[in-house]
Amino acid sequence: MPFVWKHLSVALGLSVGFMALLLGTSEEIGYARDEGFYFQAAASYEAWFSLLFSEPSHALHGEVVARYWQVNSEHPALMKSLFALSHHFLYAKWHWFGTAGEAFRFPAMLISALGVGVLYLWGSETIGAFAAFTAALLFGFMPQVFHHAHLACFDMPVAALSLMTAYAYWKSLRHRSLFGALGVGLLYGLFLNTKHNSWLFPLVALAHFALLNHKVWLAKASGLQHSLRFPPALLGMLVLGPLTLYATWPWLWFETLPRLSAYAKFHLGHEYYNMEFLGRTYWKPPMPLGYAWLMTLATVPLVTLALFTVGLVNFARSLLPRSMQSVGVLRSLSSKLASIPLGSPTSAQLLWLLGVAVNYAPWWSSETPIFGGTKHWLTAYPFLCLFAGTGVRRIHARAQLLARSKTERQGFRVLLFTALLLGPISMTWHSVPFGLSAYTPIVGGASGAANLGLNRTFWGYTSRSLFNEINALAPPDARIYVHDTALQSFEQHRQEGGIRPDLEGTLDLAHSNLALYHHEPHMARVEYQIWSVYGTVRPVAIKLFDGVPVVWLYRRP
Amino acid sequence: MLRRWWWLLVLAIGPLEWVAHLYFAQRAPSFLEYRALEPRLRALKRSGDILLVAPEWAEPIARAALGDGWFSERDRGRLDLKRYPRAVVLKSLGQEAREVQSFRVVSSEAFGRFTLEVRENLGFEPLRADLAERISPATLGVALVLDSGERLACSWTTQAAVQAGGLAGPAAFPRARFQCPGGSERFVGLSILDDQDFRPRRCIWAHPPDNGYLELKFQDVPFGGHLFGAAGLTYLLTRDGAGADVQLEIWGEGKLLGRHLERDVLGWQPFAMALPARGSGSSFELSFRVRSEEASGRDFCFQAEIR
Repeated sequence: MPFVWKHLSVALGLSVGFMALLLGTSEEIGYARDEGFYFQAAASYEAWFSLLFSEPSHALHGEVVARYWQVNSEHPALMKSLFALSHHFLYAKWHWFGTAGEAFRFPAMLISALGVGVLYLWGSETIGAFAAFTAALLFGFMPQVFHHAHLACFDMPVAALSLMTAYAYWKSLRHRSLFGALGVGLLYGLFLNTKHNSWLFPLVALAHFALLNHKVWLAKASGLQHSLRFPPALLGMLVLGPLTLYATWPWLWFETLPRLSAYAKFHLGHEYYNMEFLGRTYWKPPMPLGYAWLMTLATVPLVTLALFTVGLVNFARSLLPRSMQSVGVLRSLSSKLASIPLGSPTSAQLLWLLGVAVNYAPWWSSETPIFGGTKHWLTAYPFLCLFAGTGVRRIHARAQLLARSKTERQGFRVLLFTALLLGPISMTWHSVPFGLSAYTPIVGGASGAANLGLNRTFWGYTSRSLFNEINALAPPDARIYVHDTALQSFEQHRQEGGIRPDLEGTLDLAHSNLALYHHEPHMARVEYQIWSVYGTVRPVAIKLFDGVPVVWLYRRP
Repeated sequence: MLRRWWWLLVLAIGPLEWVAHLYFAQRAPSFLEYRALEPRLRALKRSGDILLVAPEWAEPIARAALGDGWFSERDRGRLDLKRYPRAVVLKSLGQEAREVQSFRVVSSEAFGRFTLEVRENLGFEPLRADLAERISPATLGVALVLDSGERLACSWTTQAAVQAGGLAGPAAFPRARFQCPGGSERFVGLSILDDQDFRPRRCIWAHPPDNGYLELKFQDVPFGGHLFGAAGLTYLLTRDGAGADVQLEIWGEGKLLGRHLERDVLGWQPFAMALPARGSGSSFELSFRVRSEEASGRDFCFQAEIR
């Protein structure tokens, strides 16, 4: 089999395998709060698509577009459009999926799974197949990544599209073709239409371009003639990207600038949510500067971080001279950077480094809201894992030196693979369905995190784990107070048979029969209201993750 | 040596982390282990003792496993621990209950993965009256006293509409309460508010009026002793500190005994004062007056115990 096809096959196998794992575990993971809102938006967009096919001229009228696309217009439309189309074709029309929710989730799962495959592909071109394969699995088997990859949300799709765009950009540097530039532009447009993390990507590309070309600029400044290696893809990205965003988000077709401005303002001036960190609930600036770093340490398997560190040190050593005298260091670094071929593996590594740095950059500011926790820097993780792959390659090379035969080399490889992936796979598999409550042993697991006062859960998705108890304990036609679960998410579960058809979700605690409570410190007041209204402090059912209470249920006596 | 074999150290992290994961995943006691504690706890806990759980985050498991007889709104929303002669502490994971560090350890025993401690409260102060238990027409009169001097009675009802605002709304309004004119939140009754540590505070809801002050007159309060209390608003909704101050005045035997000023940014704050030592009868009338310059949204609540 030709080399390229071999790697494509492995990438496809990884994607299919990851997708199978996601589909196999999706039912256990309840619909998260925001999924409910996106289901609702997707239903509206689906109705518009139907109208577009039946009455195109009417559907394209400004007022009609506004009516259908205003729903959730604070977020871009690509994923919700895909949710809508998946629901329309794969569930309603072709019946590929047994539930609407699974069909809604399918596009995000697919893009996440493709992300794992693409990570392998890029790695196989730069750090070797074995290291790339390990890196792809290290990425897929981060508990938080695995959890978010299930959801009909944007966090994993945007991480995958960030990786895909960066990969395409790097490929285009090698080939410098118009086709490549157009492809990058198109891909960046889809990335833009996924989530606002995409706004940061031009910084990665521009910084990469600037670092590799800084000598040319310096020479130009000195009056010397040097040709600037300007990549057409950068232009393609900056021009075609916004055009693609415009073309694929009907909401922007009318009143474009005010609507774009409102979208930007929503995220730049986003309200501060509550987030527990080291026993304190943060809700306004200054946010703790250590948040992203400690939460990364607490939620990403240590072995992955150790391999990342090895990879990073290795990369730094390749750029820096052995003697660390200040002037010499800068001069040597400058020369090394300038000599990196644009489409080389070293150029790719520089892009990864910038990918990690820029995606973590907002967390250097104490003004950055910390709501949602780790999902906000998931976009850095593919690059982090590619660096971890570099670490794997280096350790692999060391181990191979000990082998005296082909059999021994194979044996070492299996041993290495097992040693590096046993923990991440085990931890990730164990975290289902409570992925957001999973913490690594470095903080003592879930119970250690609870002792430290780290966020227990959010988004109300854990209600799913109490459905058996709700169905068994609720009187006929009972009303269930859903607390942090969105009513739309609860209703989706009810329509799919997870909840008895006679039960109704409500936010009116005073007139409810059963009440859910999802623990976060600032939400404790809701539990106190349940005590007052129901006259009891005893939950009738409680779900623990590794001995830590995550969600519990009260029944009116 | 390290320069040659560093990679083995990195490689070792993988299996070590896996073993550590298996350990931590099973470290905390299970629900059934909590349930199995009941007979032993029954033998240890006396009437009047309080049961505490360490780590505190494990308490919901104990509440679910052991039931209402072991925990109550009153204990959970307590002012402090002084009214309890002893504490039974249910410890696991090597955690301590910080609140009882000053208590004397009477006994300590291992029970499965738990440690059960009985601790004596060296600062025990017998409770003479908990005013939150005296919210009834027999012991309390409530009225609005307007700036004009006019008195508007707040009428007692046991059939008021129960309300609960959820995360972003007001605390729960009880069915039994003294309802005052001006809206459903203008009442005197029992509620539970969250303080600045998001802990529960079982308290007497006393929303100030737009005009004048709200007066609560508790009858048959015993002479002597001290009044201990705390007051505040629901922290989550007032922590930005934008609300107007609320003033609480405490009167007895026609004299002003003390004042407490509630400021949102400070959260829930304690107060204490001496009560009249003696008077004409065996007991006296203790009054609380609540007022604010801007009463709207001032969901004021206070705790008061006489010891």
